[in-house]
Amino acid sequence: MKNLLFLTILLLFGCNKDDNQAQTDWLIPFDEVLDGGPGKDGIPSVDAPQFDNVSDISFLNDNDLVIGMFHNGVSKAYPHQILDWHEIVNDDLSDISYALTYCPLTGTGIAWDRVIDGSKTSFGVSGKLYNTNLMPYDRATDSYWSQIRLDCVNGTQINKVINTYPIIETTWSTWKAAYPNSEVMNLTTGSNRNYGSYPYGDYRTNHSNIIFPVSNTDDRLPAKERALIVMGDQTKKVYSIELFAEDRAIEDTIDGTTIIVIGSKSKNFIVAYEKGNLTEVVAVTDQLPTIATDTNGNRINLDGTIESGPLQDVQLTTFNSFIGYFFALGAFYEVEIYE
Amino acid sequence: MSGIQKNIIKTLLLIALFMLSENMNAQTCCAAGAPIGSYLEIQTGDKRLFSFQFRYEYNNVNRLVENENRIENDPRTRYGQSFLWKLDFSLNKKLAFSAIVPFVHQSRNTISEQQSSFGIGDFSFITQYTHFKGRFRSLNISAGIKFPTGKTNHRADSQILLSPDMQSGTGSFDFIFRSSASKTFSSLPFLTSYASALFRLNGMNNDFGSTSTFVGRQFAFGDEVNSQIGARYLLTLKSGFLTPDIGLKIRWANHNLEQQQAAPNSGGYWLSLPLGVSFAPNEKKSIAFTAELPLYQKLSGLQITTAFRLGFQINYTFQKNKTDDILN
Repeated sequence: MKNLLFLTILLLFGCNKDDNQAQTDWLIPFDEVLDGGPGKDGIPSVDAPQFDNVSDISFLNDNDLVIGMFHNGVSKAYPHQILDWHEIVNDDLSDISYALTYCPLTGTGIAWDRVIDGSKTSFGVSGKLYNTNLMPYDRATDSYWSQIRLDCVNGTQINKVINTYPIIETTWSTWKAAYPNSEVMNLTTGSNRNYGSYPYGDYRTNHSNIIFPVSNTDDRLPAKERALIVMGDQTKKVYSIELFAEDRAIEDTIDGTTIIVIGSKSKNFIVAYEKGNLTEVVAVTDQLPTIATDTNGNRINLDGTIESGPLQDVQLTTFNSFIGYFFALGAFYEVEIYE
Repeated sequence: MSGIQKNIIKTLLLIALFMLSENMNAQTCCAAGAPIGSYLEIQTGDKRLFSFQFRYEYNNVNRLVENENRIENDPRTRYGQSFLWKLDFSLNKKLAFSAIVPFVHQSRNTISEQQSSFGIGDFSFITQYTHFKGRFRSLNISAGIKFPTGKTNHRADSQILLSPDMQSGTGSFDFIFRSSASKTFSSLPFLTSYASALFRLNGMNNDFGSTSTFVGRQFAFGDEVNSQIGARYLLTLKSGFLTPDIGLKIRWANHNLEQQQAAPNSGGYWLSLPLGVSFAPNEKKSIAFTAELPLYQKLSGLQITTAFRLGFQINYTFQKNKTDDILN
């Protein structure tokens, strides 16, 4: 019996060593990097996505959201239904390689360049969260990145800012009306998931349900209100989807650059382009893919191309921006809200 | 010390050494809450008696289920091991007490990383009241408290704090209520049927992962109810008593709570088949092997859940005059 007692005491004290060590090699507060639960690659990225034509897609409903990519006249759409379960799709389009990253907890979709310092990599889901937001890791160097910060926060790539590609987030009905000839990612993902179900319950609409804590709580808008954040070097400004209850084009200035923010709540999109040589821009309704026109008759498509008019075939420059839940944008940045 | 006592000590010593080596070799990390529900019954007798129990349990958590449907090709594999030491003290026929000290080892593997943890779990103290106990019937009720003594700061290789379900302890005070009854039929005196129900009310860990610069997060495991019915048959052998056991277990667990909100992909219903066999060479000693197989689950969302459990248990009673219930 004495031996048992001794062993028990030995185990009690032997196992309670404190293995918390100071961390100095992170750009973000180390203690706020949280283990989401599934582990590294426990949420599997899709590394060989398969596509069908728009007309062959039957699993999407009109109000389902998709994220669209454009390059060299080719367009592809990635349904939220799939991104909710995989969070990262490593893909190529024409001559570019990117990772379509999507965080279901912050509602942020951003296309990341997979070529870093001339070397092509792929990104995986690290299973870690910062401010309840996805932290991809790059498989070439095992460095950890922050999706909304857009930089590497730990590892050999630390401090590196990721290049991004423009995307458009909108509903399936808007997308297929605007781009009926595009390719759409299908359900052959290499994993078996119930893509018809949303894995986070009422999370999208329950404003008080924020699963993991964030470092800064900004409650000026409802937490889950979807909004576009435009990312000037100094100024971060947010445009809520509610501003576009009626289709609308907003002219604004961000750090000296004049931009046009065009949106539609009914069509469920918000995009931001540099104004360039456009004159006064007004939104147009129900003429997809055209979403706006200027007083010179330039017709602007959803992807920023000038379809017709004096500037025909000019591609507007996308202003660095992405859509997310307001609480998440406010957690990362001190944002101005466009009133 | 008898030869059997020496052998028991030797076995426990080997297990303890194994656990220590696991601790030293572990990459650091994980496991939450030892499964004490099926381990709460306390032997009672006419006179004061102590009994000691050790239980090892292996929980293979490799079944990915969404709602009712099993899903293949999950990139994760998980298992947990629990090592529970239990000391029972029976004051008299009516009142008994129990203390449980668990150690928990957990492993979580994906294609890209392997994490494991080992540490002390939460201590539990249980009081049992035996309403009646006779040759043919018994009824017990018990209540207990689980203290947040377990380790809740297991970290991964990267030193990032592992998730609550990978910790040895919960960091919360939890309360346990249990009742069990058994009946032996006079026409089948070696067959005993039994039923038990357990309610576990889990408290909130309000500062999981807190540091001087981070307030931490609020987390609670979902409250749960376990009910089990079954039967065991006492076989008399030349060398002792052999008791096979079969049951049916229903478990309901509420959602876990994260930041006071229901966490998605947690909670549900489980129906399983517990099996066991124990051998008692005499009234003082027994050894048991158990298994539990899932029959049906209806879970909230997508969860990785138990594929099977295996257990091993040693009981030893130090003072024994006369007891009715040799095998739990």
